[in-house]
Amino acid sequence: MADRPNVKDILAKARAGQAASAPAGEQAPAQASAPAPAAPAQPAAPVPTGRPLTLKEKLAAAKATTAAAPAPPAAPAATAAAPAPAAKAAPAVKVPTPAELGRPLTLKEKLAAAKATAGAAPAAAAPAAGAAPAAAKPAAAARELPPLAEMKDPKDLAEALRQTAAKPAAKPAASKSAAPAAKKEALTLPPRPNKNAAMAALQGTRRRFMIGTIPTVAWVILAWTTFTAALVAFSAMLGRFFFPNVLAEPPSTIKVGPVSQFEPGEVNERWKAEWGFWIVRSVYNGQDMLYALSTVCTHLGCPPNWLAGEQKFKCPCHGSGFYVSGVNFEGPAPRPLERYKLSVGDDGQIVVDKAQKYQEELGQWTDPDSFIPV
Amino acid sequence: MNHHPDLTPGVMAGLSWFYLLAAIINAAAAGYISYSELVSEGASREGLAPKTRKMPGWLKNSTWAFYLFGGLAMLVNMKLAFWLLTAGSVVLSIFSAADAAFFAEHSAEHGDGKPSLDDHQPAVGLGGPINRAIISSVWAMCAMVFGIMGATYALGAEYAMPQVFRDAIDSASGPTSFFTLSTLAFIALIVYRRFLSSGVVAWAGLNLSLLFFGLSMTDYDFRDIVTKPDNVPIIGLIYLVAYFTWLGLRRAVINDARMARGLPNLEELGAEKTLTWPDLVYTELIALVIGTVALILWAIALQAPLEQPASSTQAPNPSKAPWYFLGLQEMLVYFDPWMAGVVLPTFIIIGFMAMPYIDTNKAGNGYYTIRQRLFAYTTFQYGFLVLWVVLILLGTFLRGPNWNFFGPYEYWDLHKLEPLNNVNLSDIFWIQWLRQSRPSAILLREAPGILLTVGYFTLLPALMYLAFFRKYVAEAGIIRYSVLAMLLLFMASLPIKMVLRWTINLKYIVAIPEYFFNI
Repeated sequence: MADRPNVKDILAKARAGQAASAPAGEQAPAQASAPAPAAPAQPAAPVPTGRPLTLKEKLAAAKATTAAAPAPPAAPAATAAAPAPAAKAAPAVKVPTPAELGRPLTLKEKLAAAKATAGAAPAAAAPAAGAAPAAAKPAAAARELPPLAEMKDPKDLAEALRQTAAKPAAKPAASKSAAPAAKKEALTLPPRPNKNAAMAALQGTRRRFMIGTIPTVAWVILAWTTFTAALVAFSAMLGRFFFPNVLAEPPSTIKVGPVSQFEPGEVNERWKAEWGFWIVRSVYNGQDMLYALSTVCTHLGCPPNWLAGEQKFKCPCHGSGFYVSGVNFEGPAPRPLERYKLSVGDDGQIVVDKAQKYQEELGQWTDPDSFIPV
Repeated sequence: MNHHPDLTPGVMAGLSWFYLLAAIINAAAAGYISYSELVSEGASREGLAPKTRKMPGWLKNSTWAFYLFGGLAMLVNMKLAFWLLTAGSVVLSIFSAADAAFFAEHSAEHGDGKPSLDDHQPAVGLGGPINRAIISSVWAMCAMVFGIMGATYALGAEYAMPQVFRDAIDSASGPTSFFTLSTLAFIALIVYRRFLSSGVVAWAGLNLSLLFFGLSMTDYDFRDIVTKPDNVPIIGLIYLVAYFTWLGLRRAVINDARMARGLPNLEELGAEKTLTWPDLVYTELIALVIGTVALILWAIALQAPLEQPASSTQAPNPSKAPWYFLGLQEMLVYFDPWMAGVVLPTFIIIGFMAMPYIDTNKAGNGYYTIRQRLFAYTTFQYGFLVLWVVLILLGTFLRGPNWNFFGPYEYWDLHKLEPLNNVNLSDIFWIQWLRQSRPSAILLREAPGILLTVGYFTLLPALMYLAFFRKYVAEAGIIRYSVLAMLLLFMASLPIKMVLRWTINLKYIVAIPEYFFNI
């Protein structure tokens, strides 16, 4: 106990592929088995080492308890056991590993090993008179997993736990090949519940359930119907949401002044920021006219800028360019800018209606509402 | 059109420190080449006599003293700190080079000709050992040059990048040349990867890029773009992407050479497993701490650039996407929004998801290699480096107002005129070739483009099969090949469309704006 390896050594060993706690692990079985004869009445707590138990030791102790508990007749016999057999039991569990054999263990061997371990571990901790000598000799010859306390590989641990979990199939195989004497006395399985009785009880509850209620199919139908109905109702609600009763939108029309206010060739930007259109007076198809162009680029919806020097609308996002007429000529915009509806009101003022759009590619720019001839 | 001074006192001070840093890293490189044990990846130390080259104690002490006092002096007087650090680099570089020459001479006279750790042990596949005396002196020379450049700025001498040089670069740069040169550079990267993965070449490239960057910073317009808080990370991105690409390339070159000689690759030499705790978790913790500290310092030093409040009718000019979307934004210049914004990005994602299913090549699992996965490597890297990273750089640094293309030293003129008149394929076919007006029936009008597109997606896969993919189809089957061919063709559609736009001003191959369908 004095020279516990420091963290550095453990890490170095771990990196080199060895067991990190090998030194500690080797001490563990000695501690587990040595005090056992002195305190046979307490086989489950055999590690008075003055330090907290390691996980492995706890597991070993737990194993010992569970294996020893169903065999109370062995306990009195244990008092008679000499310390010598217990000491022999420890070497007995030094089993050959697959590496030593040069081949993987067969299933049979693994089962035997697990059985022997389960038998040997209680024998070491609470040496039953019959079990200890038996385990000392034949178990040494058998191929088995190392005892839980010495296990280095988590795989071994899992294997042992799996195999000692009282599998009925393991019993005959193990008793044939390894430590038959140890098996019979040390490993007494708890009585199994009557299978038929259990089944009968289970079926009874199920039948009662079925009789008292509607058939299962009906439940399924009901559930799906409810679910679908809820879904439909929710969708309807969502759809209704898009058509509010009151729509607080600004008016779509605005008066922009008399026709005479606009100079030839002028692009008026007064309504760009708030209303999103330019009033342009220009010659299109040989006709001097006024029209309102939307300030939304037909490519991806950015607002283009009017560059008076170049006489074009130019989009800052992807470089689409439009003539003063709104027709696209450079960059990726696929179609001309859209026009809004223009009309002359009773007071001679031009009224722009944003609710009505005119698209050139659909031939709508010939519509008399899309422009005002000057 | 340049209304701002190229050099200001602040810029000159910054540049002097920039060159000082370049000098320091080159002095360190000279010392490393001169004194260190140079054993490259996978090279063996076995049977070699121990190294005798050692850094003299006085040199080590005096260098550290210069750097230490220089660092401390920063708290008091920046000028003093600058000169102390410069002196330290000069001392280190001069004596490193001299010692390297001495070692070479000494081993030529007294050496017994047996290999020792004094010699450079090159990695397999990267050529012979370097001449340590020469390389050390070259890096020492670089340190001196950078040191002198920094010192002259510190002394107040003004010099900037020659205007002739700037004009030449500006006039040579355009989207066409930029993209074409990037593609050529990518091909060169693959073809000359063995040469490029040498450490000496990489370091020379780093030095050249530092020199280019330092000289460029003397230009007001370049500086204006590069030092925008938005764009600073993109400079970091250039160096990060370059470094990691180089690292992967180097290991792949070494592995390919090793496997060609029947040697285990580098990854097989290393440990197969490593411990999560502490090896991985410690590294992650350190990375986490450093990353957090760097981000905090960065956020303090460079304020987040906030622009004017968003408006539906006013867009900043140029209006740029976040940097990671600039590649997509560049794509939008050549495609209709639903293609560049929806279809192609979806295909990128689907392509990534399909990769494990269409890849039948089992080689390259767990180790770097190019030769065994040449097709996969080049396809992916072309998509990533050229069609993504290069387009981000283009969008960040070279796209200016009105989304016009500007050279790196060009003034961002709001009224730069680029005469363009984009036409659709239907215009070219009916009006320019057949000299008649376009038919009014939409399908007939767009028939050339539709036929071309259909042919692109049906004939080309067949041709590709006959030319390159016979073996793949035999392995993977026709369905997986069809998926692969579709993905490849969609990927290729971007450069094809770009070239068509630049050469014949083609806007859309199929243009049906009536139904918002444009390809």
